[in-house]
Amino acid sequence: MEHEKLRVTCHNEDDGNVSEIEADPEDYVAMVIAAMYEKFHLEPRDGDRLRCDATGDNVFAHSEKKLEAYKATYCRELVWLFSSDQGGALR
Amino acid sequence: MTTLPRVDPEVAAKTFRIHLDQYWAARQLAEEGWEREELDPLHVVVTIPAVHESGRIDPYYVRLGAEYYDVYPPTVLFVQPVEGWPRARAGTGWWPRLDRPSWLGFHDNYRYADGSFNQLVCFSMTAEYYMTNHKPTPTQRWTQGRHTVAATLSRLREVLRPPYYKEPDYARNS
Repeated sequence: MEHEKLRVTCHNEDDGNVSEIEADPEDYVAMVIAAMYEKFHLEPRDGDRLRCDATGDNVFAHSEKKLEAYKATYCRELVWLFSSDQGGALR
Repeated sequence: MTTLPRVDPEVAAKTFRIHLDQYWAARQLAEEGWEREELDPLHVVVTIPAVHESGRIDPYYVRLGAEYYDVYPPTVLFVQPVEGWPRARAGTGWWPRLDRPSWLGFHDNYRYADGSFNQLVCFSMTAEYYMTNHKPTPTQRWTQGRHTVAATLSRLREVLRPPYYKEPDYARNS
C-alpha cells in the first residue's frame, strides 16, 4: 500500500521565502532537511538553526528519525523555521 | 560611531517595502496581531505582539529604518506609542524584559564610538550592530541577497515569545 505523502512547510527566516516539501512518511528527517537546503539554494553552514514552529524544538536533533514518527512526537504541524547564524552581544 | 554607507533612498524604500510585504504575507503576521504604520518611505513602526508564557499578549513598538538597506540591515529602535514615537527606555512598560539568548542584547543607553549614547538592539541583523564596531563571523554577517528585513523581524519575534520573553520592564497601566 502506498503511503500518503506528508507535507513539510519550511520558512526561511533570513529572507521570508517559504517552501513546501512533500515526503514519504518513511523518509528520514535528514532527507527533508537536505531537500529544504536545495529548495532554498543554500549550503549548510555553521550556526544554522532549524526549529519546529509550534515548539521551538531543534529539527536537526531528529535527523535520523523517520518523518512520520518525528511528526507524531515532536512537530505535529510540520512547520519548520530555518535561520542562519547571527552574532550578538557576547560574540 | 562607525559610519555606514548611505544608499539611494528610492531604491532602499522600494526594496524595503517589497521585503517587508513578503515576510508579512509569508508568516501571516496580520493574523498574529502584527501591525505597521508607515512614517515615511524609509521608516515604519511595527507593532510586535509579545507572547507571555501565560498566553498574555504585550504589544511592543519597533521603528525600522531603511537608511542603509539592503547593503546593511534596517535600523531598529524600540519606541513608545505616543506622538512622535520617541525612544523607549529601560524601566518603562515599553521595554521588554527577557531571559535573552546569547546572540542578542538589548542596551538601553549604549556608548557609540563617537561618544554619543543611544539604544542598541544588538544582534547582527540590525544596522546599529555595525555602527558599534562589533565583529561578526562570516556566517553571522548580514549578507545582501541572503538576508532581508525578515531576518531582523524573525529574530525579534523569536525573543518576544517563550522561553525568552518575560514581561514589560515596568508594569503597564492597562
